[in-house]
Amino acid sequence: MTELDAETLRRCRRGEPAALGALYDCYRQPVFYLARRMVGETEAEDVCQETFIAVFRAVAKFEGNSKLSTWVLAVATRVCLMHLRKRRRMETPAEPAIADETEPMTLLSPSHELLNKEFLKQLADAMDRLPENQRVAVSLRSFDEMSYEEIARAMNCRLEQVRATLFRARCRLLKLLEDR
Amino acid sequence: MSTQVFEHYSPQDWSAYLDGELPAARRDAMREHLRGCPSCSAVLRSFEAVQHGAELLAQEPAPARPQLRTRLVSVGAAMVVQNRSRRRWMLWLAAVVAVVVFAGLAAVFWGEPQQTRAVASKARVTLDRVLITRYFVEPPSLEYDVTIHNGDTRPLEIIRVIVSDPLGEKERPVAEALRVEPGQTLQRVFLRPVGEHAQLRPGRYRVLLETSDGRLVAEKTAP
Repeated sequence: MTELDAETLRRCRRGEPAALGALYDCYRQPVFYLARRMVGETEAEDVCQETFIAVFRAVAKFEGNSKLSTWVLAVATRVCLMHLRKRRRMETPAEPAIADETEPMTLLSPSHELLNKEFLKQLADAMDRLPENQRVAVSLRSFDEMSYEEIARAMNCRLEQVRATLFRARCRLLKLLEDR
Repeated sequence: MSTQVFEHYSPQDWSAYLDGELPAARRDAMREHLRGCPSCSAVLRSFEAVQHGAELLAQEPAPARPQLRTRLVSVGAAMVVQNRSRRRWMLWLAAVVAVVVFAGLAAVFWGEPQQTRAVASKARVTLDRVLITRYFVEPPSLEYDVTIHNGDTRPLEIIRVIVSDPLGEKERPVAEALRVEPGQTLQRVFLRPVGEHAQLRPGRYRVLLETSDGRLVAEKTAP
């Protein structure tokens, strides 16, 4: 993921529209992807907007303790989770929530290992069926160079939890892919 | 499909191995182990397929929305400026409070009368009236009708106009970058959005102009 240079960030803090536009262009793709995975295609744009409004509102306070991308994705993660909480309050759950536990280990059959369009579609569907925290972890890990530490910061959890959550998510994804 | 038991390294280890999140020595040992262990290789391959697939999905382009971008950026720019001015104003206020406290203490201890210095020589601001405007603007707003007169020979550069009132807002910037020419009298309306059912309340309504030379303040107290 490309990072915004220091000069552009400084101009963002001053509220220069061109610099804010550059920030938007830089992180729109990962934010939208995360939103799409977390809340679905139809609401992803709303979440994307809310995220950037929150980012612009707080950019002057960004102290550089983490990479800007980590911070932006942490904001996006919070917005996604808030959105899901709001949605849960409004809806009656159709089926019981999936417990966040480890599936028995399943391996992909060789036919699945081809990264073709069909596989990607099945994988996307399987990701949509993961519990929220697993979905966030897998989505964040999909961006280049997002380390466990950065994911932990974005998810506001411990590093060990990231390791365990990613493992559980992968096991569940393999199970879901195999069940199809 | 096959379900297998692994003796040497756990699937958790292979998941962390894939992510490059293991100490170098352990990673090297696991890499070595892979050469002679088809079952571990199969686990790693499965994890790799899922991970690589997720990375490919992450590259799917987000829909371009140029109008949305323009709107977000302009709203964002206004918010950054507003937040900055609010923060600066708070700092400034803290400094003023410190000075006032110090001056008060000095008066108590030394009994010297304190003089208030004019911040802008011959410029004046008056707050003519305050009312709630419901029908002409959206959302309903507190309307400050203000007259600014510049009796000086230099232009009056107003950096920011800030209002405060008893309806809940302590300080709120409502305008920026105004210029009043020498001898000019400017009548302006400043709006601060309020809630749908807001009413005027007793208390102090205040307009503060931050100028390049200092501050100009006008107040009105509602009974």
